[in-house]
Amino acid sequence: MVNPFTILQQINDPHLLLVIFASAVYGLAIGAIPGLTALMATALLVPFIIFMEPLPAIASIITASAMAIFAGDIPGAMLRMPGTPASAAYTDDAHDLTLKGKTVMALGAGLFASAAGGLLSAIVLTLAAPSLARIALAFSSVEYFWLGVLGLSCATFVAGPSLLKGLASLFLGLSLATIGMDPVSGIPRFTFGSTNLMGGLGLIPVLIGLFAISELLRNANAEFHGRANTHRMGPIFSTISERLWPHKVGVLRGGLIGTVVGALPGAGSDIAAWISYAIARRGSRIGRNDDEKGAVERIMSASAANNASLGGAYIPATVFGIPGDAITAIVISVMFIKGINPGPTLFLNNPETIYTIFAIFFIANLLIVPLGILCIRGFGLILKLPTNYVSPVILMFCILGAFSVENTLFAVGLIALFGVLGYLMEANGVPLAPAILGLILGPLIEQTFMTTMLKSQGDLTIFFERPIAAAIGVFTIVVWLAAIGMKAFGGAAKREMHSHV
Amino acid sequence: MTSIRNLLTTAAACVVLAVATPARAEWPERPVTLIAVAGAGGGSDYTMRLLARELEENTGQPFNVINQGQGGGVIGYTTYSTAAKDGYTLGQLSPFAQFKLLGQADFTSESFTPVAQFNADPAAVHVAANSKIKSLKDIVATLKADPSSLKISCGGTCSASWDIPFVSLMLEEGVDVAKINLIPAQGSAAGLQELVSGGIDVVLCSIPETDSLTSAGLVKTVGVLSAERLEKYPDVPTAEEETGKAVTGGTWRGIAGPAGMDPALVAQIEAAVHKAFNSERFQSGMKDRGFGAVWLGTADFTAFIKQHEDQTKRVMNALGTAEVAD
Repeated sequence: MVNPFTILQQINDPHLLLVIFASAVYGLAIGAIPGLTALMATALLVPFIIFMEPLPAIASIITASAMAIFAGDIPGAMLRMPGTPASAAYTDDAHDLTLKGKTVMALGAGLFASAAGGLLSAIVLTLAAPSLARIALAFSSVEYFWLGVLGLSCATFVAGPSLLKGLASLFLGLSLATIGMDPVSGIPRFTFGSTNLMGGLGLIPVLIGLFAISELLRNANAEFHGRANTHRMGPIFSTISERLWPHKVGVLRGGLIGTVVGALPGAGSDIAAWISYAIARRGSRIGRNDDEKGAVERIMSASAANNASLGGAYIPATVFGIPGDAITAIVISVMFIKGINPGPTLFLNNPETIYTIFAIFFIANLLIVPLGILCIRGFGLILKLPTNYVSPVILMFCILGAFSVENTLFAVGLIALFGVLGYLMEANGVPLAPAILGLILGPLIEQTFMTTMLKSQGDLTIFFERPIAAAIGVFTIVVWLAAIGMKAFGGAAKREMHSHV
Repeated sequence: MTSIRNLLTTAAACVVLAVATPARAEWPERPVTLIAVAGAGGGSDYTMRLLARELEENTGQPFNVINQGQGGGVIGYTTYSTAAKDGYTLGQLSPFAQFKLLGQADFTSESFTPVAQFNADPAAVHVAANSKIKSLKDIVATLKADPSSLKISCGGTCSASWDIPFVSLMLEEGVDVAKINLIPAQGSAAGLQELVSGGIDVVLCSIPETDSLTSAGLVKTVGVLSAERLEKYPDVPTAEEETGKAVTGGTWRGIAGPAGMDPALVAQIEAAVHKAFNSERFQSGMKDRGFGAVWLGTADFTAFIKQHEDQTKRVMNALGTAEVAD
């Protein structure tokens, strides 16, 4: 068995702790800027950490990515511009709280839930990584297909008051996802001969356009009254601590969902946040409400899930060398360079190293609390500046973000286009979030469906042949029927009530 | 005052020198852009950055690696094959012939000026450890009896690095390849996940990518499509040993520029890349990750990409996947 003292000794190294601290500050800064993602924070680290010792190198990635995912909540709540796609699910809930002058509530909830979700996944990682990895490896394209369709049902929960408008937005996202080379046969679709469209529309430029640019347009166009409230921020710790306890079940559930979804290769923090959000919205007594408590419950469930998914992704990565998401793909490559080859032998031959890596998860997630509070305060100060100074700077970062992800000027054009589209959608009451969901899940569903059909040579029964697939499949169909049924029935009931009144 | 006069003299000398030197100075005299035709974090990104680091060290100029992996790399290839021919925009050249045949792009071997190849990894054939298939011979026999009876993952997009040599081997064996059930995957990790979950029967990709799963006792490599057994994997037989057909192939990475570059400039770049290739840091960096460091100079690389184009055409016509008939 592993000696905990060896691990403590390895961690109690000033150089390592300094790297963790510096990466934490860096991750917060990247995540808080709309358009700069946790993946980008990690990718930009590689040239530096390639020269470091193995442990600080991996610690740096773990810390920076955890901080960036949390920090994405900050512009989401304060500006209604999710800093990373993982925050998109609950941006509206968080921003609504801000408009009511409850910024502290929205961000404090996200902060503590992020830390708790991350810690939970670290515990699971430490106790059960090898056995959980085996479960993750039982998923083939059929199971992923059902998971994707289940994820789509989230759209009905974030659709807002009108189911039809929500579905319109979802289908817009799904059809935008068909642009570019089809993920299976590579046939170019809707590219109109343009090389730039071959790769499809990048998720990040579209996200920046729909959320950030459209918000800038709205601010420029309208007298903004809500913002005044955001400036009065009370103490975060005392306001929050006693009011968050009722949401412990939501955080626990979110943390577990996040860990499991993160452990499935190909499903990352954004999908984890959506699924957790949907389950909180529909499945929990508090989360169903449209009041402040309901919003906090949903924010906490989803925030816990997106941070937990980061830890979950290390399960297949360290045990089988299979990346759970793009961040762990980079981690695996760094581990190979540093001579820590992922695989079951790592747990047998080198348990100190791997458990020290897991221990870093605990440190990183605990650091989220103090550093996160400082970051929230700092961001609040920036918002005290007049909008006409802040907006151009945000616009500049949006352009930088879009360009740096895609390395093409075309991406910068995209944010302008989708900014206008987002503005028009909002002005007509069409919610933005389902479109992003469609764009994230569309390629996954299409690709797993086509792959499955190729495997069975066109036989549809394959979707229910494997036991896990059949179980998720039936569950998905029930959820869809229930969601649509309830929405339709609920709508009818409401109308009836109105007519009686 | 003296210092100012000194400064002026130096400045004047510089001007004279600049005018006196021949029009085309040593390459590179300003930063060079290297386009990687894949996203950040993968094997292409890693090897290109490794090379860029040595080039930077040796020449004293920055070599910026830009990732343009969108559309399977089509965007990256298009960017640098249409750039200025001055040697300051170069890119990664990897198996490219399928794009034109699939109707996805216009470029051919004529669209590039090949400089040098620095990496090659042979394709290998993997099965699940508990599979009924135990060898490459079993696969050939099974496919001969019923070509569509095995689900074969291309370990990435199909008509690409891994399946073209495999299908080429099956063609030699007389298998009706048009009926083979080839299934694309989002990269080798996704293909291996399918293999281990029991979704498919065979995965085609390089050997180092399966290290972790092999050591977990979940995956078995039954053959490698190289001329000789690999030093790091002495137990894996070559396709020739198993079937008697000397078919080889896999993925490879090289440096190229837009078509029509000045041969003298190409020679300069080739020399710089060769020096970087021979450095100890590059060699050990490739070895650490299990990438094969294989050198082909400009002349050999130019001949090689023609050969690549011919093999791809032949196989894709047999598969019936080529859109543009030859």
